[in-house]
Amino acid sequence: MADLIRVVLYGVLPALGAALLLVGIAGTRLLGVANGLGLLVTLGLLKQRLPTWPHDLWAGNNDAMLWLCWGALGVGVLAAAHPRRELPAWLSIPSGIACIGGSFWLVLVNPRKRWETTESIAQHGAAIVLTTLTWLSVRRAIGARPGPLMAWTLGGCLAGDAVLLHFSGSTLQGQMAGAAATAFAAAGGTALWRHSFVLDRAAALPFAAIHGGLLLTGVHLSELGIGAAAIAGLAPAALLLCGTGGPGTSAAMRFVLGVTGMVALLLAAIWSTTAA
Amino acid sequence: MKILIVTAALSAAFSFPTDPLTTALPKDAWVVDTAHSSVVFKVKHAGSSWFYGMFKTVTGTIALDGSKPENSSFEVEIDPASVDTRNGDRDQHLRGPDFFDCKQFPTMRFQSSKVEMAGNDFKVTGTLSLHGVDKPLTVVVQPTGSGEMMGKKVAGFEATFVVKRSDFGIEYGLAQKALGDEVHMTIAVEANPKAAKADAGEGK
Repeated sequence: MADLIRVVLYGVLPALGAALLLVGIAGTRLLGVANGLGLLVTLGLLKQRLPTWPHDLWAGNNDAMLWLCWGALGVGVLAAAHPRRELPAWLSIPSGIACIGGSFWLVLVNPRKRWETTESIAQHGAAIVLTTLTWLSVRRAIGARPGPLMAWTLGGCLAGDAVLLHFSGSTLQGQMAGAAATAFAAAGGTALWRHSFVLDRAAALPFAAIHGGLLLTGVHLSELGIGAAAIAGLAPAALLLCGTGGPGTSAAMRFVLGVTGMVALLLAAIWSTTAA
Repeated sequence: MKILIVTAALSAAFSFPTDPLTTALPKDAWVVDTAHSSVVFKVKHAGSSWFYGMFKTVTGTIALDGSKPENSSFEVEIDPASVDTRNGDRDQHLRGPDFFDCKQFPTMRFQSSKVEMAGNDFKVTGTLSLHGVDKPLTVVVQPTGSGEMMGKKVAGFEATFVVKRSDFGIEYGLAQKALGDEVHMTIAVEANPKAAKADAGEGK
């Protein structure tokens, strides 16, 4: 029991604290930064050592999980700059794609050593395209329904990733996904005292980068199948249904449809993994 | 550097008469015979019992010069994906990112940089590369015997040492105190002269 409590505290508290602090103070535009910090501290606690700084990591073993955390923090910082228009609007999508691509390029430093150029291009390209599609879909879904329910839904998606990654052979990756899920859920929780809670569309970028990055590590470090990863990777795109539908379809019904689609895809990915 | 030298090896691995290999063996390079070599490790589980496992694939070369031991060298490579703990699910977990992370770091390697005599044993200093981290390590390698097998010369060597897995970034389970930090390893290899190995192929 004490072990379980320790794992929960290490895995949940950092992300919870970072999200409550940063989102509570500055709003959801800092959700990505909170998520990056939460992941770094969680990994440090689970491994009982301070995270290696990026320059040492680059000169050292280029551990993919650490690059994922630093990448999440970097993407979070960029996402925080978007709503303040520190970047010109036309740079929004190219810079987001560059950030996702850069983050994935770092995560794949070690696996890439075994790949031919064509395989490397295919692996990176597929991951970046899928994650970009997810990012743009979620961004649109958040625009259509920016309330706390959307934050909890995205947290639920990351919790689904945690289950999937656990069944793919890595408890550590599952815990990291759980930490990211906690940050989104905690951000939604700030609606309890911030009644004007609005999930910033910029939160879609760190969500997609973490969601895609975790699944990428599942495929290339653990035993997650490419098919299951692709299904799970695109699952949040089902949330596009939240913003579509005819005049006769209520917003609540559209939301339920979107969430149902996402959950169905996640369950299919988990089922295909456990059945394999 | 927290790597410890624990003991010289204890047992002779096979029944050939043990003569001082420092003088009896030719100076040529010897090739590790995977089929007759063993890598065994033990680690504390839940702070209580010793848990044993092994790696099934070990390769390497050994060059000996008894008159000038500084000219000798030891190179051993272990495939961490060959870990065997008699449980498929656990082996899969050990291969994954929580432990050896074999897809990122597919080899475990020791390369000597300095060899000295310590009685009839070799005191070998070198670098152990594991989980993408290089750390200096000194081990005592004991020649355990030499002889002939089906017309081929064979020689045995054994080393026992302790590494702290946290030194190599393998910290999973430490926070939960599920598995100990110190891993006791015993590497017992049988080697054939390089030329014989080339002639005869893999040892059977």
